Amino acid sequence: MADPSSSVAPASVPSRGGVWASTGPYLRMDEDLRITSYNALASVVLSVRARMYEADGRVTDSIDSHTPNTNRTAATSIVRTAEGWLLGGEVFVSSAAPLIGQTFVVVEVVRGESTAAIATQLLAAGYVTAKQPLLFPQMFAQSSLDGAGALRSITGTTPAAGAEISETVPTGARWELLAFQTTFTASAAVATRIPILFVDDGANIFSRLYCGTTITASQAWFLLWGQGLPNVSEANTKTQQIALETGLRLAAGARIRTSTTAIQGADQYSAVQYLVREWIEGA
Amino acid sequence: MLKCTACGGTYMPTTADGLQYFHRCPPLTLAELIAKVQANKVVLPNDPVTGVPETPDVAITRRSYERANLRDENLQATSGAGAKLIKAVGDGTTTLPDPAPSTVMVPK
Repeated sequence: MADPSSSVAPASVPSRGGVWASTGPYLRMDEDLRITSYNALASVVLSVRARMYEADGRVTDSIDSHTPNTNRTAATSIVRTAEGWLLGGEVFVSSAAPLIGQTFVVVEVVRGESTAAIATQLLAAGYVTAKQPLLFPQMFAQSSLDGAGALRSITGTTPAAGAEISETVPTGARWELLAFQTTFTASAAVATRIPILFVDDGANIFSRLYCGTTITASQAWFLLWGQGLPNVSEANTKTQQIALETGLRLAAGARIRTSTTAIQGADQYSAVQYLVREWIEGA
Repeated sequence: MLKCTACGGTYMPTTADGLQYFHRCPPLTLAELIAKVQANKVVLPNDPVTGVPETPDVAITRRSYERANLRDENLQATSGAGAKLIKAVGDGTTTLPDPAPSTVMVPK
């Protein structure tokens, strides 16, 4: 079928000394680039630069910016291009300093400029950082779950007295739980408490990690679950450390929570701090 | 700092590394579940092994009992209309003074 949107003859193939020089795809008049980002960090701004070999033989540049959302939701913008060969381009961070695992970018060829533009070709996908731009076109797209992830130390919710801890993997994230620490202060009520760390998928429990030493009235214990730790309870410093599964990856909605046998109304969990490796899930 | 009206938990809406924090209420504690059972708000199922109703201390290790007014600030989706909506508003939050920072610079 004839293409009514292509108003000029296709550009000649760019060449060096008569030899075809590999480039990106040919973009018609009605085709542009779409940038989609999934970002977790505040104040990130991306710059998008592309070089085109146009129908009249000129090489032109496009310079655009893209501001991602800060809650791991998709933000999209269209980069308008002239008709011609896409020689290449890059997306780089121009504000803030995201880590691998925090700002994932997808570059596509789309037909149309609206939010309903139809994607016709994936050019690149991968993380960007202050030191690592995303080049396009690329032969292989990176998954948002590739790489080392971003190390994050997170302060959780301090529950009310008598309540349990419950931390949730945010929408759009995947976590690997590396360590989890809290302080449990037992009230004067006489009871034998046993804190347990539950990990569930949002409903169904698949991991139960018990503290080995019971906690009695008016005691305050530091509780630490960590990958690679031996199970140790040290009474002088009131510290218990418990082994955590290695490589425990958690999808969005999964919970890390306590369930405490014989917890009393005035017992208090506090200083909830945990270390995770985070990726963008993008789902 | 915010305080969740539903569960009483307190939290900072932004973590130290500058990312948003999404609070979700914890399930009921054992004491809360016992109170709900005694008030006939919850009927515990029969234990599949013994055939008699589970006791609250057993039930709470087998499933999570959620409060009806729970707050879940996580977004419904990462794209589309759900990307602008949190999962459950609950009873809202109140603002409290921020706690002391974890690092304090002391003058010479």
